[in-house]
Amino acid sequence: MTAQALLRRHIARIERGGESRSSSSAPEDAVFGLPALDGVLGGGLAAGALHEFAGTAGAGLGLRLAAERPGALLWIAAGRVFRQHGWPYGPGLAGLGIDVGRLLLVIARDPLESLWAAEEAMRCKAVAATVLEMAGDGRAADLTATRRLSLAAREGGGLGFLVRGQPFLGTSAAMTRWTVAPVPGAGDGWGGLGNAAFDMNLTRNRRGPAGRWTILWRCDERRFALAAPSLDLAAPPAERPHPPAADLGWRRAG
Amino acid sequence: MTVARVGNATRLMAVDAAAAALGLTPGLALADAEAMYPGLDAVPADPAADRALLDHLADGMELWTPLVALDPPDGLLLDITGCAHLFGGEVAMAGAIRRRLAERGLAVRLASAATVGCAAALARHGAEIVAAAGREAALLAPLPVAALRIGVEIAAGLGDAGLETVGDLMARPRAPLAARFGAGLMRRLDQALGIVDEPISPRRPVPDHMVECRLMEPIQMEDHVLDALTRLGDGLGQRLALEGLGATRLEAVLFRVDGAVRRLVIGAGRPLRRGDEMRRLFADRLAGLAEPIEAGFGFEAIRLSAPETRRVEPRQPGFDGGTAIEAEAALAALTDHLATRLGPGRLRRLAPRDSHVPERAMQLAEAAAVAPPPFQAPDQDSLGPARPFRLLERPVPVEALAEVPDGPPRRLHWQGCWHDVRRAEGPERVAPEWWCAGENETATRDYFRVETAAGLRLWLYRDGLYGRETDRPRWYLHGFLP
Repeated sequence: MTAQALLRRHIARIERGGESRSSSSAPEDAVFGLPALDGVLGGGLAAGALHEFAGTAGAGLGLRLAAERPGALLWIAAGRVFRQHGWPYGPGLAGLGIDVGRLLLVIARDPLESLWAAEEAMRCKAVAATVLEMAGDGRAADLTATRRLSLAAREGGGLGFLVRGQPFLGTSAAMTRWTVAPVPGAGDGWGGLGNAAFDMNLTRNRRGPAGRWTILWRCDERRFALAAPSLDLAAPPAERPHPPAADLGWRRAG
Repeated sequence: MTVARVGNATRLMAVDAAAAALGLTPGLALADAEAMYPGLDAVPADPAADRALLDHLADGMELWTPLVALDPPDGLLLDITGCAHLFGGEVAMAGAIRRRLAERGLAVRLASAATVGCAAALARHGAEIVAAAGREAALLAPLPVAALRIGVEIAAGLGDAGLETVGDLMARPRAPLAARFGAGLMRRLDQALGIVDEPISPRRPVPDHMVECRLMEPIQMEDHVLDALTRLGDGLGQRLALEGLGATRLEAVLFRVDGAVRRLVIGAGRPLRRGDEMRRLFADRLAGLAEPIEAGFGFEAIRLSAPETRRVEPRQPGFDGGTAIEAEAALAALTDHLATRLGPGRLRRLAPRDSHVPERAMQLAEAAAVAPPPFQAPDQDSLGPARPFRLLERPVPVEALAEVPDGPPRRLHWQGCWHDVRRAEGPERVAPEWWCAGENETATRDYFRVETAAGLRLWLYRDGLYGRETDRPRWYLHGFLP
């Protein structure tokens, strides 16, 4: 690594502030900002690799994870997928903290064409993240296709996300495989919806163990948080060594 | 011999050499001709097919010069100024064109002259010669007046006046002729003599920047065509570089041996100068074609032109060692690559529009357009996001049950099953745009953000205000909240 690259990495670390100092993540990797997840992932979702989400919520998640990286964002899907699941909506994406001006949509004719476009996009060094969305379980993206996508992502160095509508039972060459589903949130205590909650089930992880978490998207702070244990559960006994109070999603009023 | 119905009689429209030798001329009634020579082979005239053939020939003639104009119904005008020496002079060029057309089974009459009028007159009525400049008057004098490309009535009128040849016309004083037959006659005469300039209007605009190559041997393979385009592209790029330009649109014209012409057009978001970049886009274009171009017996010539160019501003690399410029170029190459391969309208970006109606607040703009202004993040009025991150193209009707007619829904039926609504926020009232309400009558919408028991977050609206606009408001699903 050249001195220049070292310096750049160092500056990036300073700029990102204190909370990431504890995590050992390389700056290229996309971090959740949650030590529990990032630690398991070996410092965050690895750049230059393919990550697979089952569940349509994965597309927004992927874009959000890539929002801090410089470069273009590509969202690739067949036209039918966009019409069925809805078009990316600029005001809403801006509300997630994503720079919509960097986002390009590629509207393919069929799944195979979207695979081709995604491979080309992932190979480009100027692309921060490529989101390839496939309808159903996306069986066109099988082991061979995902292997090709992984190689393309490694060449380009950006984040590659493959989003399937439903979990795919076949094998895949992705670095991590997740099943993402929205779960009922805790509400905000005044009858409102509160923070969005997602059940993140990491079923395959090449850099560490699998796991399952419920994370919250804090829209007002634009960051992820770990969900507080459900209030239906029994409160943890006092002698437990790790009180979850620090990780509770409570906000101090006023 | 072709025939067509003119007025009440079927008349000959065109005759071939054999019929002409028998003394048959166009304009003769078919009945008269058959009375003279029973058993004539006459086919109905098809002006549309004639026109199509003429267009097809004109395409092929671009092999000789880019300036090709139609002279309907049966003529082509080629401006060979500055081209003839490439083919060994005008005589050799005329011979080559004649040979080429004869191979395709076409009988042609060719003449070349310093003026359009003179060449046309010679080709239709005179000798098939290559006339030197300055001899127009001598060559035109013995030709009939119809050779001047004037209307039939004027020609007939001149005949009645005893003026048969162009020479007769030239000998007469101009003023009385102009008074009787109109200024158009004198203008045609002046144009033929070269006194008044007559530009030809080419079928296609001639691009400023153009390179071409003739191939010793026709090529058929796609790779060879692309190789040739790469070399041409480098040559074109050097010329453009001299003027500080780059090509944003390129047209490749492939001339097939049998006279057919194939055109490939590519567009580029950034100005191109390098042959290999152009090659890549042409390869995409070829791969994206619905039906492949048929090489047949091969292409004998290829022309590459840049109809649209843009000035290339040299840029100074910043302190990052030029990585920003590199990244920009890489992204532009990717978007060109995708857009050329996938076809138009397949690469989009989101652009904001000034409207409060959700579906009108955004449009899908062409990616090649200038970068759109940024979106404003919506106002937060609760902990949850205010706007969906995905919006359905058209709202989906759902069945919903509400406790009170203007309250939030309690249950909703969507995609074949019932969802219990656990929490709801709203309403957010969105009134239609009254200033364009006349086009399509829309009702006021009350938007609700709801979370179902399964955790789905949906953006629903009730169409119409209960009691004021409608008594049975309907519910629609419009988007998905994160």
